Amino acid sequence: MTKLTDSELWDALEEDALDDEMEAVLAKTPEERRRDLREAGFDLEKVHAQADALVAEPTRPAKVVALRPWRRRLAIALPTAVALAAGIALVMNLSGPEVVGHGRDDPPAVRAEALRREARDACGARNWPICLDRLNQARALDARGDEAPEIQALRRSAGDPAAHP
Amino acid sequence: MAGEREGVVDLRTMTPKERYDLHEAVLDFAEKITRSPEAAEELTQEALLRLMTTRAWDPLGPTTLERHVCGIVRSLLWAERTSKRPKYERLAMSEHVLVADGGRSAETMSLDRAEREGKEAVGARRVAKLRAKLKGYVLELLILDLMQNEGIRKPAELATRTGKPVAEVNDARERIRRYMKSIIAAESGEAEDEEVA
Repeated sequence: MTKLTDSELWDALEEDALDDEMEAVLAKTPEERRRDLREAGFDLEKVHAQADALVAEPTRPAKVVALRPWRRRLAIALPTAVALAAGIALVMNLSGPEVVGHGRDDPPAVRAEALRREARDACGARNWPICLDRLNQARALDARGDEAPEIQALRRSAGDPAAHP
Repeated sequence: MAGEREGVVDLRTMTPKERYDLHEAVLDFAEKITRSPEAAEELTQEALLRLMTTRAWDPLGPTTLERHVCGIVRSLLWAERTSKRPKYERLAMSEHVLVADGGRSAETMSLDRAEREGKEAVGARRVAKLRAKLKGYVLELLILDLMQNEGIRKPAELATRTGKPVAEVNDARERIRRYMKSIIAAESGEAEDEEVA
């Protein structure tokens, strides 16, 4: 065995430290890891969103950022559009027709049911992120419908930890 | 595991729970070794992308998926450390080259040689500092000697050679690491190079 140089010794010490850290992490239970991640300042929902984004987006992002759900995007875009339209009407002194929606004028329960159909299809195709996303969107429109045993079963199959047993 | 198919794992076919567990394990490891949530997130994402492209995991092999991806994180970090030495370290290396070569510019020397000599100079300075800090800690210094002179690194083997229990050897290795961290922190100007027990 050739004697290590000081630089090689330092590298060996650093490598051993990495290996030991890896063994310590691998020896932990998932619950212990979650606790440690929370203590380190991670938001687990954001972490899970990043995990979902990684499989939903096949191209390499510079940095994966959780996409804002379309409803939240809509929540920003719609009032902005309404405000703009109101501003224009005010400037032009027009009393135009009432600003209406953008075609999504079905009752919430109907839209929720359409989303749940998409969720069933996605779960059937084992596309779990889409399945959960559609279920969550549907729940926001129709919370009671989300309590249905069939929907809860879908949630369980999609790995939703908040699903009822 | 649901993601296994014909010897290749596909994250897209794993259940969310499986993917989240994997992501959390890798992120936890990355955070432990970088101490930076941002760096840990970037390393984790890069490692998982590699898993899906160039560093596929073989479920029939001896390594678990978690260990395989943590191994990718480890090698990514190690490659980054060795190829992109921190600024303070590169500065120390170039200073060494200028002094060692009689003040001639670094460009006149072979870059390889310059880097090698600079790296050795940094290593020598660090190890000298480490040994000085560990003065009085007989077991720790003995471990450094066994590693450097005989290449012994496994705790069980170190325990046999030193005649100490493995737990005591591990405590000594922990102390060595704490002193290493304080040396690095002092070099980067992050903290005082203070004594750590």
